[in-house]
Amino acid sequence: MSENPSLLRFDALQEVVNIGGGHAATALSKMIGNKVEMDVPFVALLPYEKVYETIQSDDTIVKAVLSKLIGREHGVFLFVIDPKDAEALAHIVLPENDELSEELIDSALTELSNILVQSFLQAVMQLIDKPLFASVPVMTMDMFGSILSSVYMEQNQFSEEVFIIKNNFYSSGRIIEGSLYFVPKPKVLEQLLKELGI
Amino acid sequence: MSEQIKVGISDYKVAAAPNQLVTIGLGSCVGIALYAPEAKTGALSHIMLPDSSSFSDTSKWPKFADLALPKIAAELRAQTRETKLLAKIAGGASMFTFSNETQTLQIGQRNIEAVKATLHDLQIPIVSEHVGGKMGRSMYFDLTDFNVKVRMVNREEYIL
Repeated sequence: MSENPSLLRFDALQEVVNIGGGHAATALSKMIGNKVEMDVPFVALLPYEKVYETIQSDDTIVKAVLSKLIGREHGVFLFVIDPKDAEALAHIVLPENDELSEELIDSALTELSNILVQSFLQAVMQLIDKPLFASVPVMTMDMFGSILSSVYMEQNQFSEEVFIIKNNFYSSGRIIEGSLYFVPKPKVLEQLLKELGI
Repeated sequence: MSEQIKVGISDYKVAAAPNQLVTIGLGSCVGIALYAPEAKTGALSHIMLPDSSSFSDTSKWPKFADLALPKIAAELRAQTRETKLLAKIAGGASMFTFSNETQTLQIGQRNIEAVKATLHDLQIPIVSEHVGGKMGRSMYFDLTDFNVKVRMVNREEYIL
């Protein structure tokens, strides 16, 4: 038993993300036929400024796929990847094509992100014994800052400090890298921890 | 030497020629460039929310359009002794659109409307704007001539 209850909750949350992310990495690895590795989940409360300093600069151009949790309106998943890595991933899943159109790359990326999210959710569903569903994903390419701030705001997170929850995935010996963020609606994390009995 | 001064989310800065005020990565937020032409002095504000009335903690007032713009305009008017300010605005996008969603509730749109209404109340005309849509924007505001460049991904630069 931890002496600090908030630390215990933090650990529990990190463990949930670890289990979800691990499940997602396995599913993705089966899908692309390449090993997919994952860092220890990143869970931290940071001001936007620090996010842009330490995680990704606000003017970095990224591709991002958004999936919403539907039904209970818990929040959204956001898969963020460098456009070059998205192309490399698309080449792995569509090896028969030498030249891939932007449309084909984006469609492959959207599908891969969907697999990550669905398998993440499957693992969490087993933990909390409740059904969770995610919407059909939508993709965009834009500045990381525009995307991240807007996604938090859409989830009614209006603070200048944001709670970052993410898994980093790697493939092909760290050449391809992508991050899956979970952005919760307010009070959703408390609810989740309660359902886990913490 | 001119300096580039960065304005973060929910913040604002005041500067004078020959400097440049910059804000990166506006999504549904709105950037407001206010200018006092005689003094060649201006402010760039990066608001996140339209209206502070449903928030109990408003200590971070530069976040809200309804609080930020009157205060910043007053500061600029006091500093320059110019009453006639001008504005250029950009942002208020909706970065992701799901087909089953209505446009009316979207925060970017509400931000644009609140900024326009507040500037109207302050009698500050909007000289030009680049708002709405689905794309992120960065603003580069040159205090020398009130030239405001809007940069976007995969689109031509737009000069406000």
